[in-house]
Amino acid sequence: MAKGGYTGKILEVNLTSGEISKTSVGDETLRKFIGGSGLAAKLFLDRVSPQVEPLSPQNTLFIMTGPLQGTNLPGAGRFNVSAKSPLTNIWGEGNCGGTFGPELKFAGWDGIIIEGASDRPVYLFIDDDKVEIRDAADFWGKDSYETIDMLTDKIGGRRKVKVLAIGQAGENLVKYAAMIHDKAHAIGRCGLGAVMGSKRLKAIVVRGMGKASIAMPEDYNKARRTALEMIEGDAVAQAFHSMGTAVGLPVGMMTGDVPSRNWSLGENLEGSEALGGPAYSEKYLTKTHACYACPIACKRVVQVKEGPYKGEEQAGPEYETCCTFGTLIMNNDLAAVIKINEMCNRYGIDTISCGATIAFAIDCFENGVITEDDTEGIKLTWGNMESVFKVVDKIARREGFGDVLAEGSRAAAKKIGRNAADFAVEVKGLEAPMHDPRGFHGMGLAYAMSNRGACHIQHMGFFVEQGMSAYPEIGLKEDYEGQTSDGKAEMTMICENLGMVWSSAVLCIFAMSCLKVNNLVEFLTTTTGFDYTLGEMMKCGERVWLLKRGLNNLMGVTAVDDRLPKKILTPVNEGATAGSVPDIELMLKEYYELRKLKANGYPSREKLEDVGLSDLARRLYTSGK
Amino acid sequence: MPVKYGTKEWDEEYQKVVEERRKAHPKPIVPTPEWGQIFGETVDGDAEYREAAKTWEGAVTLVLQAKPEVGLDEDVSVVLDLWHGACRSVKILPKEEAAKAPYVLTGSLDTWKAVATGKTDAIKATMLGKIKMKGNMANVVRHVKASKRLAGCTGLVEAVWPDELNKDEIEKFRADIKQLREQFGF
Repeated sequence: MAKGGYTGKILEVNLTSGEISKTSVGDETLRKFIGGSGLAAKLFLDRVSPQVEPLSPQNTLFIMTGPLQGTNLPGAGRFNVSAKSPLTNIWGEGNCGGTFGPELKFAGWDGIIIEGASDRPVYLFIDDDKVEIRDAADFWGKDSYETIDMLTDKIGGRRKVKVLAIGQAGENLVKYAAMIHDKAHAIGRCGLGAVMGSKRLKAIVVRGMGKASIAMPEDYNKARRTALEMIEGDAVAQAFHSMGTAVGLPVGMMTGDVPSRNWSLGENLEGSEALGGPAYSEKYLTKTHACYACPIACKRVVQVKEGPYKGEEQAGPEYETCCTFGTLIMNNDLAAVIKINEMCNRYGIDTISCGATIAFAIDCFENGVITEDDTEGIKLTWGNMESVFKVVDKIARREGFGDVLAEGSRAAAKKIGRNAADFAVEVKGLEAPMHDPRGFHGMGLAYAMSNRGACHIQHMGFFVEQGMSAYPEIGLKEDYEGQTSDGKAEMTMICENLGMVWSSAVLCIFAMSCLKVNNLVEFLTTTTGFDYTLGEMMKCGERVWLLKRGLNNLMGVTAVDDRLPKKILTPVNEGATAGSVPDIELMLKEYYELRKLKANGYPSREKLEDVGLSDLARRLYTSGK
Repeated sequence: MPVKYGTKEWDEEYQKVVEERRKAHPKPIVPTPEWGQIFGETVDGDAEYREAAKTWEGAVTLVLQAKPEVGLDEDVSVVLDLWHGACRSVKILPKEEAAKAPYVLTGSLDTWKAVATGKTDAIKATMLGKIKMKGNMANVVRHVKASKRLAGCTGLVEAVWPDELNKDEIEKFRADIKQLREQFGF
């Protein structure tokens, strides 16, 4: 029985009926699925039809913490949101830092399940066990920053509330709309902000006066101290601490990690120098900022004090944004990236999908697939930030060409026709993040197989394959060679299984990258009281991965969808990855064997039953597949 | 005969010993003073390094940690005097002096050999904690291309690593390093 880590209550809100209730999950389920995205997937399987239309009232938002939230373990400040994604039409999830997750736990809730849709704009206010659906007419149409400020002032109180809000993009159902938390953190990917918008749910506001429960306090404190020492001595953590995630740009440009010019240029040293951690820190950094209880403090606060992009002090862009609105579109002006980051945050738009979709559009324009007739006269050329600002605005408002791009690059390519699809770099509809599989072949396999679409962060592959972390205790080598596809199937599978554990416990990947797997076992055991072994914990990870895969299969995913886009399978001519292309067919063949996936992409019935997913097996195999 | 570091005598005696040892050991053992000098000349003559490091300022100390089983009874500190693309010298210094360098990278002999022989790269080794770095990380990241090339130059020096010596050679190396240590204070 869980003796800590969980409150034992999940809030249920039906926005159609206005009903507010609570539910709970048994210990067996908690032990097997842990929490966070794992528990969300289990609850989705039990409660939601996989055929649900993502923007219909029947789609359900699962806002989940894990057992570590609310403790002061390093990296435990995050939370997870899951639903069927309107961008990809398959499993969607996002993970966000800050303080919202711990606050929800302090309020006494392990998570929130939001069903239905309101007939008018509302926000949800959770004040410990007092929960209200309140009118949001005053906030609808406002951007996320304004909404967060207005709600924080309106509600006031002794303890500042924590807010998760959408901007106009979510209201307008932009397919990659994001949720923004406290003007500095985002549930970015998969368009979950649009799901929130489809429910006319403008914001969720939380205040919690309680505290987390810990099953074994003395052992917990020891585990925490050990982890803090490891993080303090870790070079990657130090790099993130001193320069934020943008430190990845200059290093990544050398190793072949950073894509440029919509994945067609292999080296862009000018770009990485202009946009990377050192330049960022020197020119615009005013201070650093941390998520709840995190010693790494990778968050940046910036200010552009002069020039056309002069602005207020605010949350700075991350590595991904510096790439998608920087190297990917051949813009070297970091001040412009800071401004566009603010714009996307205010509108509530995923900077990865937005920047990548714009890069796609620029590539189409530069190659004559679309013209100014299609773009209402906007010249979409490389590095033309004036045009980019106009397009982002149009996307958020779904105006003109922006309405086409608001559907995401896959749908936009389909609508444009001709060979536009050649320029879209997405897997299963999710635009690829800024890590080049031509430099690190295993990342290509991870993109092809990740359950929400191309993803670099739901597994430990990024850190392991690039040599920043090593987990020999679970069969991973210390020194993988990036530009080889051999052996990457096993590496990717193990990294994914580990990723599913911390995604369910809800621990930050940066903290996990400094630790060993046994640290995570200790975190879970001392917090919950469940006597996990390493083997059992990794089995949880495997189970969660297979559950999400099975859900995707029920939503229509097959082997055909496990692919890489043309751009990533085309070698570049310069830089560290010149001539290199991942052998995706080899990796998929090996991976399918290891994962026990059948030729159609379904996990075998035996495998599902082996990991305790009989219900899923029954549903997948009822039609004799 | 011991000479005091920081004196003209130390510099002159060190240079004299290096020249004698280079003639006696055309394929030097890592880390000896003659190996250091050849390494320094290699870096200084490397066009790729010079270009990448043209804005670099600051000495870099490489600490090769002791490994008694191969004759290295104590850590050895190799100091590279690097300035705007030039490598002005590479010397083995007393550890207290070497520690004053703005950048100090410490790793085991095995790690440094892996870097030199291309089995791993210095960036990966640092990220994995196998090389511990002291110094301004932002500046290192700004010069990551130079750092990588510098590490690559170690592989261009034809040298013998202590773990490649036989038993007798190890003892000879141990005695040799001990004698140099007594003479030059490192």
